[in-house]
Amino acid sequence: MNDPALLILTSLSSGPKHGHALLLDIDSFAGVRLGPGTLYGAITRLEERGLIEPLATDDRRRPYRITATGTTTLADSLRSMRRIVEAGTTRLQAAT
Amino acid sequence: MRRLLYAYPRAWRERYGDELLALLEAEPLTWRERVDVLRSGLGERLRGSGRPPLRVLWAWSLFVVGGMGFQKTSEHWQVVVPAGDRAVPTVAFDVVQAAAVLGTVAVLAAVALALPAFLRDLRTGGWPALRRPLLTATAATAVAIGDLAAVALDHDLVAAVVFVAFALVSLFAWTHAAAVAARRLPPVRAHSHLALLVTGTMVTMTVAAAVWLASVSGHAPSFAGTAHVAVVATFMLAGLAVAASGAAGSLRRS
Repeated sequence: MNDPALLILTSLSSGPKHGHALLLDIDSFAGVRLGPGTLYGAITRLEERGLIEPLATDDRRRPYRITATGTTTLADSLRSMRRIVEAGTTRLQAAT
Repeated sequence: MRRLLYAYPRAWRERYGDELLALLEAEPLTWRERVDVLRSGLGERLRGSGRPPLRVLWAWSLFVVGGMGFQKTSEHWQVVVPAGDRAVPTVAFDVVQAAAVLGTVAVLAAVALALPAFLRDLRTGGWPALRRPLLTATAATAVAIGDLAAVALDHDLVAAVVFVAFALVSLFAWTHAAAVAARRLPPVRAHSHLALLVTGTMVTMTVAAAVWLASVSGHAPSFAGTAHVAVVATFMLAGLAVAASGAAGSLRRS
């Protein structure tokens, strides 16, 4: 999974958010300011894959929530990243 | 702000346009964010152009521009290469031309295959959807032809530049019209195979043009001119990139 998708799933794992709220949340926990086009490109792809879903709203700012498949995918990705972080940290420590 | 959304295909705008617009209006936009929206919109157009063969059609149009540049750049190349050293550039040049002819035949064959369904669509109410792109393309072509006449009569540089501009607009307008028309028609399986063939001719032309350029430059380093080569390479490589995405889609579906 690419970075914007992972950041969006991570943000939505704490509850539904619309586009602007996603940008602010991702900036706050990851220090990454996604471009609006990048954000909506990732939202499009995540929705196509059934990892997130839109919620009904009267507002133009439509919120999204993570699906059960999305939660599983996020958990798998984080487990995989954790293994890489642990391996990298161990090897760095051994090298220094 | 709303104009930025036109970078995206209509179907995408109908689904996400209001949301993205609300986001764009939430805070002042930087230039980097504007570029990000434009880049993403064009990316959606590539993905959303639907049928891979249509992407190859767009790629072919880009490639035609590169091909015209190559044709102009390579004029009289035999003058700068000694007769004894012309074997490699001659073969490379002939390969470019043969591949161009083959690619053109494949594109025309694809058009011919779609023609009966296109005419049926026109007869059964398709005209309103096609009117605007077809009239735009016709108008651009008419202006280009009119300007060509002015160039022929006066040899005026400004008229020549205007002609090139409208020739390009005309090319892309016809491509757009063809894509709009094709999207309304049932898929034709042979189009996927023709798309692969066209992509193959584009790869062949790119390689052969590079071989030709390298061999001619060996004798006359400044013959082609850096700016000309950059323009030709840009359009050829852009065309190849778009074609690769279309060909990959065609392979998956064929």
